[in-house]
Amino acid sequence: MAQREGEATARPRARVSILVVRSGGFAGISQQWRVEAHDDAEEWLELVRACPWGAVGQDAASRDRFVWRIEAHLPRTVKKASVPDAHLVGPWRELVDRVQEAGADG
Amino acid sequence: MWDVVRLSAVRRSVAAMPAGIVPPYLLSRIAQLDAPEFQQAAVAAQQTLVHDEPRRAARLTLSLDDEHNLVAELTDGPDRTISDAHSTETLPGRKVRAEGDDPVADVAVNEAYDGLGATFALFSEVYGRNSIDGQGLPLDGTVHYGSLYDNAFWNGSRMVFGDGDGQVFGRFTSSFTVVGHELTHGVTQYTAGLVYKDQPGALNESISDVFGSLVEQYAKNQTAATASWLIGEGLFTKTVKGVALRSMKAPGTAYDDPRLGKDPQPANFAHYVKTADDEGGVHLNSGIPNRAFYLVAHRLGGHAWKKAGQIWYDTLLSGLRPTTDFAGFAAATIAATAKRYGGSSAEVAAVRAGWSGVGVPIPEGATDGAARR
Repeated sequence: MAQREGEATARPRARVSILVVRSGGFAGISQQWRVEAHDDAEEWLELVRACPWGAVGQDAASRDRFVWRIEAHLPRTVKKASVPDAHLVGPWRELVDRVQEAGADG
Repeated sequence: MWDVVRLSAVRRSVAAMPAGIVPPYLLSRIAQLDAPEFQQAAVAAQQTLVHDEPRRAARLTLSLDDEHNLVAELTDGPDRTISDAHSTETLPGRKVRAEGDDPVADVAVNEAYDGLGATFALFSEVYGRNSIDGQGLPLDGTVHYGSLYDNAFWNGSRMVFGDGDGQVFGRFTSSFTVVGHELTHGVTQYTAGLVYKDQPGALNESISDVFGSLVEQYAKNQTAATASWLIGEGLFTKTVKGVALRSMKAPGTAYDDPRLGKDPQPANFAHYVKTADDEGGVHLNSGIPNRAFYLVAHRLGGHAWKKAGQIWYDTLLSGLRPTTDFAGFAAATIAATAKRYGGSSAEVAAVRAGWSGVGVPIPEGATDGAARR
């Protein structure tokens, strides 16, 4: 399962930290994944930059769909977005898939 | 004159036909029958065709009266279409079963079809509501959505069901409570229009759980005392320590599993969960009005859909504001109860006790409805 927040090992401070929290859904069971990037920070930064943080689509019609809270803690700033499941496509989906893969490993 | 021949055969040999679904083309042919013995059927079919939308389905019951006249009764019927997304996230998917079709080999398709039928039956037969919009809106569902998809949802026009991951969740079509829950989101959309956030969002969720549970209770003919009051019973695989996703009778007790944690639903307004996730915790705080409904149904006894369900349905149609909060909804249930059963009735006392039991304050004067806005 996902690595829990606060369970990070005592490694040097990461340049990039990305948190993905999936809430909602019929079951209402939240799940979260986190990645702490060090040597490969630049690769993660590219994924983060590709996402439209300032133009997240809304979904007022759906009920019981997942809501994805995505936070990217970067060297100089923190980016946050709440992405409806219906809009988790393209770069958002790529970022979340990668964090889930990395989170599952951690 | 195919219709006449067939109906004549029915008249000769069958006292009462089982209910069936009548497509519009057959309604048209029945409407055109001119033989005197079929006049009643023809008039009924004509009325249905005149007053209804072109795609509306109807349920036809044929029987013989004491004088051996053929009696045709047309009542509301569902118009279901189930599609298969084939593990993609593309909607609607390929149509695999339409209204009146025989069951197919795919159990998820049949479960969705039957669940939609059971939900239609509750709203139609108990509350006189013809489908989601009250006007025979077709019921569309998609199964096998996504890959290992752990969810079921309503997208504003159709119900969508995932297969689950097979490790924690199984098929989301496997419980009538889930199918009923999703369709009820449509009913709420066409009535109170409760916004999907914070307290009105939790009420929106709770109303779906209430009628989702009642769909199961009505189909199984259970009383308030014999019903499980569980939502999503059987959705978890056997590896999960839990009986269901939610318990209306005892919120917070449905599961306690090392992987999933403990069921986080509060059972009392004092423990309302404040969070930014899940649209303000709509799937968590729904436990509070869920238990209020259970307490009302338990106190009134018997079949919960008859009184408690009727009160909640009346409330849904009472002109609620989309931003109604728990206290406003509680007051509206009391006003609806007083309107149907009388201000000093035992039913009003039961509804008041239900809300008191979960710590939701009831404004003074709620009985006459003055405080519900």
